[in-house]
Amino acid sequence: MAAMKLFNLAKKAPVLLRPAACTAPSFQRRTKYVYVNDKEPSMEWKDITDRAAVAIFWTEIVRGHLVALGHLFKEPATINYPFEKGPLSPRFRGEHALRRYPSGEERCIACKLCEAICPAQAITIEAEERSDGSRRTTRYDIDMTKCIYCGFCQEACPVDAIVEGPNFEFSTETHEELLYNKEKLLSNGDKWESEIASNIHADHLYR
Amino acid sequence: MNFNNVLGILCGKRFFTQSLRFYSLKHKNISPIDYCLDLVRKNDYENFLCALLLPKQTRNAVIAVRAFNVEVSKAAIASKDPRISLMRLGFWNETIDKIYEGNPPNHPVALQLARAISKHDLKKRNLIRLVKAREVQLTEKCFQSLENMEKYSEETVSPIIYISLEVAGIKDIHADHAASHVGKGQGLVLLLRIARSNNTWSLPRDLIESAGFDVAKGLIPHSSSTKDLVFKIASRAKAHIDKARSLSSKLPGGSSVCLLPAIPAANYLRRLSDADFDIFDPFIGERDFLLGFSLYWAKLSNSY
Repeated sequence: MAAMKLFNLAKKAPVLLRPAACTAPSFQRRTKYVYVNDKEPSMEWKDITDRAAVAIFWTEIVRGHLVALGHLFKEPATINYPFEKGPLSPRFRGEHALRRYPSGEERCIACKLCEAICPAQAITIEAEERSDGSRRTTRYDIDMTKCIYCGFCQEACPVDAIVEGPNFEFSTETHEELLYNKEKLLSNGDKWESEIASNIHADHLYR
Repeated sequence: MNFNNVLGILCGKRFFTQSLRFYSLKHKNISPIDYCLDLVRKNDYENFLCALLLPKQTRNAVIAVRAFNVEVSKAAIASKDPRISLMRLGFWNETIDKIYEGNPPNHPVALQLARAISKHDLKKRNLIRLVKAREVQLTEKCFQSLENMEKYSEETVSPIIYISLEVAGIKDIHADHAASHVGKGQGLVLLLRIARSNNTWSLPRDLIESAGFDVAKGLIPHSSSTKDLVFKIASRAKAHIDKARSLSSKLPGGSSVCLLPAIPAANYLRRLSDADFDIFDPFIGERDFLLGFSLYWAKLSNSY
């Protein structure tokens, strides 16, 4: 209520009195002083965005450098690939190989279980009796571009002849080179035999 | 096998195995029996040691049967899909038929087995049992009861001991009785060892459920209810081995060496009871480096 009264009084005051109250520069403007309060930041939109950008980018740059510095002292996460290779599971299913017995005889007895089980129908076998009466393959082809590396052939083979070895680097330039024949598979077996054999080992039976 | 190699295998030391490997590389012309020996040594070490101590004229036949057993057991775990394993077991079934027809397939184990069969006139039934029991159990999630586990052991382990008695020319009811109990005990121990890889396949359903576990989910390692479950099976195995040992006074001479597989089984049970029946104890699965000596001592003292 008091405020209302003041307002009403001002309205009723004589008009002449008002300019005198507004001017009256009877003292000198002081310029030699020290402003001790915090300086009010400019609240223009441009200034606000500038300040924000500076704050963000400077701290980010410093943090980025710290991350880089941290990585200098860490063990590298990558390996020098063609010269170093990552670990492989003993169950890894890579390039196929046909194994031999230690005596040099081929293991495969042409039972054709692998051909039957292959879901991609990548295996082709032809067999005939040898002169000594044993049954052997005359043709054992795998189309490596059809193969889906499921490992069923290896699981189905009763004599552990066809295996998927640990080799995964067998890229070629042409499709024809990936149509493996028996000769290629046997030479793979000779090449990888020690690795393949060391992957098959157990201390006691499991069934 | 010369003396040095036998000693090396008995000691189980790396140095000797390496020298054995060097020896085998030098002699590239490897016969079926060498292949069988290597297969059994790599996959069934304890029984390999037991077979080495058999008399020379019976050793090769028993090794052939052991190698056959390794092949059949590998066929059974070859795949997660039982149909693929059945195909492989079917191959071994056919192989037995072909061997008895006189036309073995060209596989070192089959050739050596054919040689053993023609030399010692082995019964076909015992070999068929090794395959059939695995075929039956292949599709099961677990055994129905402890008695089924005993039956499975009787079908998959005892026949080999019967064969080693048969090869040694021992036809005695007490020897067969002891062999049956040793086989059951050894089989139960093997099934307990398999349970270590945390699958319930090798355990009986009634005991799993009474211990409060689910067959599909498996056991909880190191828990007291798992230990109780293991204790029940282990005490049954111990009872079988004790029963077999109680028959030792009635056995004819030369049969105790055929029952040597009781020793690794009993050793395992002793270590298990030391570890408070915790099959997941890390020391339980380790190879017993004194096993060779204890087997040799048992052979000398004519016990098992």
